[in-house]
Amino acid sequence: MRVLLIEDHRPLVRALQQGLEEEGFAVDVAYDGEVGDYKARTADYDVIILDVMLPKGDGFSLLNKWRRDGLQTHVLLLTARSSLEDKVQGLDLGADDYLTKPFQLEELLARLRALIRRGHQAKDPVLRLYDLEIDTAARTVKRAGQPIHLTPREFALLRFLAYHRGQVVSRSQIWEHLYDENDETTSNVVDVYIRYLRNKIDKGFDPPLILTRWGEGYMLRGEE
Amino acid sequence: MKSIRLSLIVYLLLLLALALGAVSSFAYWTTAQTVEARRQTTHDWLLAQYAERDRRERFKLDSELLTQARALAGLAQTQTQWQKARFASLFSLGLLSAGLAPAGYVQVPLWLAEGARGALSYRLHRMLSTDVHLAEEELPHFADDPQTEYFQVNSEWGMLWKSPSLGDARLPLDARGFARLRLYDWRFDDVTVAGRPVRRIMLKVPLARFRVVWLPPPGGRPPMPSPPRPPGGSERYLEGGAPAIVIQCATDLAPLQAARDELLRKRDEELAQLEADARATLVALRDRLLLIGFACFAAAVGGGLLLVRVGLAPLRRLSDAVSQVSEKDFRLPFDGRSLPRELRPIVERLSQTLEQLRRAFAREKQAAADISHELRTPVAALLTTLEVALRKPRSAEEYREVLRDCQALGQQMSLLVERLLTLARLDAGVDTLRPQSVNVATLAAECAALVRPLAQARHLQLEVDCPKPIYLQTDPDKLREIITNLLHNAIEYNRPNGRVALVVAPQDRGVCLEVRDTGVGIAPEAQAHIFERFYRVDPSRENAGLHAGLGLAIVKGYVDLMGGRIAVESVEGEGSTFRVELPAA
Repeated sequence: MRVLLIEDHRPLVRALQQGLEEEGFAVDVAYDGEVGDYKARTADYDVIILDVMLPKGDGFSLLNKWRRDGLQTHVLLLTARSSLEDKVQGLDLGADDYLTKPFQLEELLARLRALIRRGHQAKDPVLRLYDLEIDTAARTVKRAGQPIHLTPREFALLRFLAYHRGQVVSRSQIWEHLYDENDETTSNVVDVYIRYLRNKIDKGFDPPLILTRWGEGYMLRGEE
Repeated sequence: MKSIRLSLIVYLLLLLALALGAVSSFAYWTTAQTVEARRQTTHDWLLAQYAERDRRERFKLDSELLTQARALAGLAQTQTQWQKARFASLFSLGLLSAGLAPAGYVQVPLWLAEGARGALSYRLHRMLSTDVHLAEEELPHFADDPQTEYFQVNSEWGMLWKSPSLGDARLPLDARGFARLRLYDWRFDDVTVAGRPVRRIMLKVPLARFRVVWLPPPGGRPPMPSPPRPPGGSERYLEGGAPAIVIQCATDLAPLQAARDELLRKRDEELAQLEADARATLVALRDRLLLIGFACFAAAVGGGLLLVRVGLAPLRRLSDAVSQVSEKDFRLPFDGRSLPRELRPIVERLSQTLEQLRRAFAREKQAAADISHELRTPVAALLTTLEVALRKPRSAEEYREVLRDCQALGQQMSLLVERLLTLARLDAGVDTLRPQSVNVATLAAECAALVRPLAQARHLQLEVDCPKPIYLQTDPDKLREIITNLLHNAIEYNRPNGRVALVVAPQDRGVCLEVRDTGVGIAPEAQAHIFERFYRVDPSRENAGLHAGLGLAIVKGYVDLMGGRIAVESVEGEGSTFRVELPAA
């Protein structure tokens, strides 16, 4: 899952970026409104974490412009402004969630997961597919009741495929959602991770869930 | 009185009562004067009228008496009866003669008269035998009752005639009174006859009709040899010998008195009526004035209440409007132009004050948001850093890095808290100066040295211009804070490769510090606000963390505390100059 973090306080950005990346999020960072606006419009993010008081254009007006221009990305406002008016204003401008500083990282992560679920019209945090269970909250995976250990990136890839099950997703789509702007890998790395995942999910189980569509991409097997 | 309404009403009514009282009193007084003058005039006129009527009555009476007397004068005649001497009236003569003939006191004159011959005898006879006579039936009567009219005729020879109405009484007239009257003269007086007051006229006239009667001798007595002859000629021509008479007519004053009494009674009645009329007029006037006064007063109470209500209506509207002002909406919810002219300055001033309040509130709100932002963001960063670090085991180097980050965040928060506390102390007035002798040149150099690394990091040229030592009695810590803050700003807002100059110069009884930069400058509309706390020219500028718009507010607070002045001159795009003037002590 790829997240854009627009925040001008560098120590916070550093800590947050580390925390999110360790949770398997690909994190892009913008330190002011101008850059944030540009990035939000050019890349496909699952969630934008947006501060309100920013240099070069504050968060509220950015959000307003985005919604006016039809940008559908989920936006979570993360701000020190805790007054009711600010919350109401933020949500009314089109924010999907509002979190005030200081905050618990766990809460932020849970809200991000909730936003992602909402983006895929999923209420249940546990994704079920044949005998595969993916608990997006606990970040655990079981196949036929057997727990399977996945790295954060493998988990992110599986989750992405699971949210798009029955649909073919291209390599670059996967790559875009799993890697941030600073990763100097190419989309070939996707093939590597798909192989890792196949080894953990499909090996020894039937039917195989990860399918390859040559020339198009990959797909998680849809409904029976 | 606390209530405008009440005091207006009370003063209005007091004023009205005073005015009404004065007008009524004046009207009453004027009318009373007129009524009194009219009453006095009428009174005098009545008195004069009645006096005139009285006088006319008397005059009429006197005229009647005079007419009667004159008539009587024409009617009176004497009749001389020889040998019939009158005795009574000659009584004094008889007394005189008593000495000569003790038994014949009357006889002596008679004897003398009879015995004498010639003119004397004649005269004596005439005097003794002549009686005055009046034809009573010819008397003119004016009164209804003849018994109230009295007539009396006296002659100088002692003859007397009186009307029967006099009875035994007589109208008094002595010889002196007789003699005092001149012939054809008359005199009125009031006398008493038989205990009754009468009005009398005395008219002295000569007797015109004179008759001589020869009586036959009474029986048995030898007749007189002959009557004395008038000396020298006929009886008819014997004149000069006729006596003067005094006619007295008198009339009872009782009827006149009764009439006068009646007249007086009527006069007094009319006078009393006049007094009563005057009094009634005044009472009616007083009642009417009182009624008008009360009516006016009542009308004024009602009208006054209405007037005050109407007059105070704009105030009430203003009050309603003011009561609708809240911390959420500072605008007066109506247009001040609809108010009367007198209230407009209040509304304008109020609107200005409310606008200032609104701005202050907004600023405070902004300040609270700023403080929360400035504090919460580093706290969030601190907590997140720690939380991330603790999520899984890290290497020693990673932990050290986390600790360094946390230290930096703690220092940033500490600085911010220090600044907030400084401002709070300035607000509370507990920050006091600790003056001592300070060499401003040295201090400026120290401050410049402190910020020089920062300036060098941004490739700025930092110059200090302070040619000679300047000593000042001031608080060195605060002065250092002022200079450092201004230098920090000058560096922070400068353009790359720019200049910062600190100029210290003595001036009249004090020192003048100038910090010049070649930075972005400050817009004219922002210059008025830069010393307000949390004011930032660009609210979303970068690097806000360190100062948060508090630096200049602290500088201004310190300069004020030291009794100095601070001003800024700036041209956008060229740079700014902050000028601080401090007094010597």
